[in-house]
Amino acid sequence: MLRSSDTRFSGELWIRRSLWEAMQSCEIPSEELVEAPSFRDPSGSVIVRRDRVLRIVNSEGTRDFKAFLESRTAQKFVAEGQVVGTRSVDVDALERFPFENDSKGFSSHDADAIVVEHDRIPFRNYPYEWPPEMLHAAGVLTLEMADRLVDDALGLKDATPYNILYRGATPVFVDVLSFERRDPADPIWRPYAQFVRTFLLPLLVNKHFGVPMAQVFSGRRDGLEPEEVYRLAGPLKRLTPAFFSLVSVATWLGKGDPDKGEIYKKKALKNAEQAKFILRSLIRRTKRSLMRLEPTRNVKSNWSGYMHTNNYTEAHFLAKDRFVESVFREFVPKSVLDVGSNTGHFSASAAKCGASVVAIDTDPVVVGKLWRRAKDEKLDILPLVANLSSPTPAMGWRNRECPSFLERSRGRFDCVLMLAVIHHLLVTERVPLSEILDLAADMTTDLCVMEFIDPDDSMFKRLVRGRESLFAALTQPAFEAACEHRFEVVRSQHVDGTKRWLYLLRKKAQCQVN
Amino acid sequence: MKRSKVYVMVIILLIATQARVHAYTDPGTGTMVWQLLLAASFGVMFYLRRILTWARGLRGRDVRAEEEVNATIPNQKS
Repeated sequence: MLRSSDTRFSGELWIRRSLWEAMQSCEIPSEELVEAPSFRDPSGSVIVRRDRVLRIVNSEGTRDFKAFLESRTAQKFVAEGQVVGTRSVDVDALERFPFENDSKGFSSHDADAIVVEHDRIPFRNYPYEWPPEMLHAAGVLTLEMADRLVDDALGLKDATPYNILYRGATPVFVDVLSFERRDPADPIWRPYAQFVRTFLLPLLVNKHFGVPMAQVFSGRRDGLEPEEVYRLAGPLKRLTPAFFSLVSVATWLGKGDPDKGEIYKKKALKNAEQAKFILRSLIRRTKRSLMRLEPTRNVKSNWSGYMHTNNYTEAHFLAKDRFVESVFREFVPKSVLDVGSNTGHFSASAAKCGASVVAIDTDPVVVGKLWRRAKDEKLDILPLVANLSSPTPAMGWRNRECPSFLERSRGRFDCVLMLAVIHHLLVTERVPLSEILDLAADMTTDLCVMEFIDPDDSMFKRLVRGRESLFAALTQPAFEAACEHRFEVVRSQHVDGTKRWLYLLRKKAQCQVN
Repeated sequence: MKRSKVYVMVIILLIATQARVHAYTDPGTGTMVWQLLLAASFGVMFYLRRILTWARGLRGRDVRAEEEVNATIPNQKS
């Protein structure tokens, strides 16, 4: 018995190690490797390359995986785009891939293993880059799946936002190995505590204490514990309905002897119908808790009123709008990065011209507003909370699970918008102009639309606050000269009556990413 | 006993009777116990609903039976 399990385990290890080695080997150009294979789930691994996402499901996971794919609910989910598109791949076809040696290896060691290919999500994104609205929508999707799968005797192994990626403004469940066959007599929703930690409590602390998602998830992959939130809340708050059952009762019940292994033992009721009723009721009760934590609309922040408080008159803004839109119409970029998107005026116009847009801003409130707009108007915009001056770092085990924002962005866009941004980077962040242009050239494969703001501009002056001498050499000709190293100026336009110029820049051939 | 000895004794006592600290606390336990309590209450609710449905069925049957009786006596008023 021991022997057979040993063999199985060593076979699995062999597959994993060899795939990993193939990923690391020089056979795959380094820029094509965008993510290390997943390893947390013993049922399989994922390999993400620039244009393809392959998943190897080993013998441990095939039965659950097939049961899920064959269920009517799953087929509906895939058809509706709630679960990522999944197709089986012929193992022999893997020989076309650089890790061809593995295809032979794993087929001989693990005859039951299968390989599937998933639709690629254009730009991977993680909960620490989402505004609360997006975490909430991901939670709604998770619970909807758990609820609808009950009838097919299927369920979720885990309930974490890392199972979900956003395609534009739409959440898509991508971790298809999270589905498992359930014992219909088991009334307990096992991922409940994880759902509370990774969805409900982060939303709760955001709603009541304004803690951003980045702060919750950047240091805690598995979210917040009730005990942590209990300490944050005062004695009165702990007794309010929002905190009472989720935080206080959970904390009180968790006190005492921690050795409560008994409660995790699988429970099976004699009456499967009763078990189903209990399970459904638990999931629906959790959904009601989630709906109560829906982020408030129309929250105000420093930046939410920017479109009305900037120093542009209507005529100036119209001129800028016309310039930017003409770029979209003339060059029809396919993928656009809008840096400092605010509520996404230009992101929306790029999306309306057919581009797939990633819009970043540092303010979760404006990013949340943009997400609502993109969702309501069905615009292909992925809004993320990210700061270009301190981009999201790589996260997870060995910093390889979730690549950094820059790793994901490098050469990913054919047009980068940096409108009303560079003065913040130059003055507030003290980043030299040449560095800003280098970064822009790193992210775009072709175009960059940049707004040059003269140090005499009122907004520039407001940021400088007595350090004018530092920017004495920053003139429009100096800006153009700095651009010349990486870009050619396709066209530029002075916004009449302002100290601002708009530039359409094209990346020079020697700077092109191979 | 000298005062310094008393202090030393107190410190030794405090160390010796230190509250037990668990390095491996399981903070998810409380949430799990809460779910079990909820599950138990939903389990009771399941039977209550059945009883309620059964009682409604009985009432419905009485009403239906009454209607059927009324239907079988046509033009009673006339």
